[in-house]
Amino acid sequence: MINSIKQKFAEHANQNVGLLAEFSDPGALVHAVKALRKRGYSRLDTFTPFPIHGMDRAMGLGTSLLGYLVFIGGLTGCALGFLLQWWTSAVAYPINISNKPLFAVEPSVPIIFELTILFSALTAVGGMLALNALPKPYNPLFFSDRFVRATDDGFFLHIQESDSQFDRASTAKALSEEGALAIEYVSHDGAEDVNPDA
Amino acid sequence: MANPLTRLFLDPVDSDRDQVARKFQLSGDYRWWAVPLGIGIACLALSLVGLGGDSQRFWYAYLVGWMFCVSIAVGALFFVMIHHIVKAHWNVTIRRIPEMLVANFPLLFLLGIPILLFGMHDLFHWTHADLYEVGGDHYDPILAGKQGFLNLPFFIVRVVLYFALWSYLGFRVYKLSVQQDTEPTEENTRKLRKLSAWGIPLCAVATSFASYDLLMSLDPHWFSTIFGVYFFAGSWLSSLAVLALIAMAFRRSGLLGNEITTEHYQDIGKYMFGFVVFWTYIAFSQYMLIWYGNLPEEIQWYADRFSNGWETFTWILVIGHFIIPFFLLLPKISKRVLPFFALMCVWILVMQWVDLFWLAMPTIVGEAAHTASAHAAEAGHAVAAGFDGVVGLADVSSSQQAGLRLVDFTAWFGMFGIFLGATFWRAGRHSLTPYNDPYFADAVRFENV
Repeated sequence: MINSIKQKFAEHANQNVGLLAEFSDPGALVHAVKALRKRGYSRLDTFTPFPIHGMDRAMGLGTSLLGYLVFIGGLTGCALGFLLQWWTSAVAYPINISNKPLFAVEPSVPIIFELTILFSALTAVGGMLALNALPKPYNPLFFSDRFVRATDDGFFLHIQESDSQFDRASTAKALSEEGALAIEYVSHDGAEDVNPDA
Repeated sequence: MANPLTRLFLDPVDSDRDQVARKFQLSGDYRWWAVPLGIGIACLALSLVGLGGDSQRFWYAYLVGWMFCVSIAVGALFFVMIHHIVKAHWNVTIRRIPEMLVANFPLLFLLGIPILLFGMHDLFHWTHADLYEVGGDHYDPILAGKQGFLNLPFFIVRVVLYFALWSYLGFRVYKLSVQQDTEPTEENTRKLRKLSAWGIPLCAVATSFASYDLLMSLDPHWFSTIFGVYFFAGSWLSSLAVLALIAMAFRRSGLLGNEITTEHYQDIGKYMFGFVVFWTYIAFSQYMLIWYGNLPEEIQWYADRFSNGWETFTWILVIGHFIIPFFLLLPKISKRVLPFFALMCVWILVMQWVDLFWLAMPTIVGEAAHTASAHAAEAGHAVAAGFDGVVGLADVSSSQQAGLRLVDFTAWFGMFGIFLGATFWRAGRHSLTPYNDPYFADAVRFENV
C-alpha cells in the first residue's frame, strides 16, 4: 500500500523527465503525435501556446473528469442552497413577512440558483487545477531554454522516460524522422541537446 | 411558375434547381411536400367541423396552432440574422433550412387573415363593444383606459406591420442567400450582414409586441413586460428543433450527410440546452415577481392556471419543459446519438405547443366564469355569486375544464402540416445548402473542441 503510494509520487515527480522535441507548427505537431502513437508510444504530452483543433483526438485523450465533478458540485450547491433557505427562514429565525409562508420555494429559487452556480464555478476552477496538478512551482522542463517559447510560438512534444518504448537514442531518431527541429533530454539535473544521428 | 400568387405566398425566388450542384438537390418526388401539405389541409378541414360546435374553442385552437408556426418562423429569422451579424461560420451548412422556414411569413399571414376577419370576437374579450358603454352593465373602466391601444383598427394595423416587417426580412435573407448559389458573390454576404444589423432590433420590437397583441391580450386585464422575451425563448427553441429534424430527414434520404455532421447536431443541441434554461429563467422571473407582488390584477392570471385542472398543464411545463430536457440534454452523448436527439427535438416541439396552449386556453375559463356570474346576478342569485368572492370559478361548465380536445390537435397538425409542406416545396426548388457561401468550407470542417 505505502509502496504503491510512494511509486505514484515518484511517477508524478518524474512525469516530465524524458525527451522534449520542438516542432515548427501545429500541423507538424499533430502529425508527429499521430505517428509516434502508431509507433507504440503512449506516455506523451504536448505543450502549445493555444488549443489545437483535433489534438485531443490525435493524443487519444478521453473525456475529462471535470464535467462530472462540476455536475456533483452543482448538485451540492443546489442542496445546500435549499437547506440554507429553509433553515434560516423557517427554523432558525422565523419572521412573518406580509403573511407569506415562512418557507416557500418561489423566493428561495434565486438563492438556490446562485449557490448552484457558485459551487459549479468553484468546482470547475478547483477541479481544473487539481486534475492538472497545478500550481507546480518546479518542473524539470524549466531547465530547457527553448521551452519558454511554449507560451509564445513554440510547439513541443514530450515523451516520458518511463514509457515502455523509450530508448534515448532510438526515440530521438524517431522524433527527428517525424520532423522535430530540435531535441533535448530533460531530467532533474538539467537539459542537454541530443543529436539524433549520433 | 410565374404565377404571382405562388410567388407571393410560396416562393418569391424562381426555381434554380437545374443550375445547382446535383448532390445538393432534394432527391425524391412531390411526396416530400404533398404529404405534409395534404395531412395539413385534411386536419384543418376536420377542425372546421369543430367550428360549428364550439366556435370559441375552435378559434383558440386555431390561434395556438397558428402561433406555433409563427413562433418557429420568428425563431428561424432570429437564428439566421444573429449568425450573419456575428459572422458565424459553423452554421453555414444548415443555414438554408431556417432560410426556407422564414420565407413562410406571407403564407402565415394568409392563414392569420381568418382570425382578423372572423375570430376576433371569440378570441379577444376586449373587442366586445359593451365593455366601453359608460354606465352599461358590462362597462369595464380598466379596459376603457386601455382602449387607446387595444382597439380593432389599430390592432389590425399592428398585425399587418409585424408581418410586413417579418416578410420583408425573411424575403431578403432568403433571396440574397439563394442568389449566391448560382451567382457566387461576397457582396451578398456583406448585404446580409448590413440587413441583420437593422433587422434584429426592429424584429425584436415587432416580436415582443406581436406576442403582447396575439397572446397576452387574450386576457386583457393582465400584463407582463417580460412576455415578449418569454415568447422569443420558446420561438428560438422550437425553430432549433424543427431545423434539426428537417436536417435529419434530409440525412435519412442520403442528403447533406457530409455537410451537416454530428458536430453540427451537437451544437444545435447545446443551443437547445441553453435555451431550455433561458426559457425557464424567463418563465420563472415572470412567475416569481407576480407571486411576490400578489396584486389582484396580476395574480389572477396564474390563479386561472392553478385551478380547474389547468394546474396539470402548469406542472407538465415545469417538468417537461425544464427538468426532463435539462438532464437529458446535459450529457454530450445525447446530442450526438441522432435517433435520441431527434426524440428530444420532437419532445421540445410538443412542449412548445403545450406552452402556447397553456398561455392561451385557460383564458376561456376566466371569461366563462365572468359570464356565469353575470347570468347568476341576472337570475337573482346575486347573493350567492357575491358570497363566493372570486366570481364563481368553481361554477364553470365542464366544457371549460382543462383538457385536450380533438380540435386542439387537428388545428395544430393542420397548421404545422401546411407550414412544413410549403417549406419542403421550396426546398425542392433550390439547393439544400448555401454551398457558395464564402464560409461554407469552414462550416464543413467545423469541429467541437
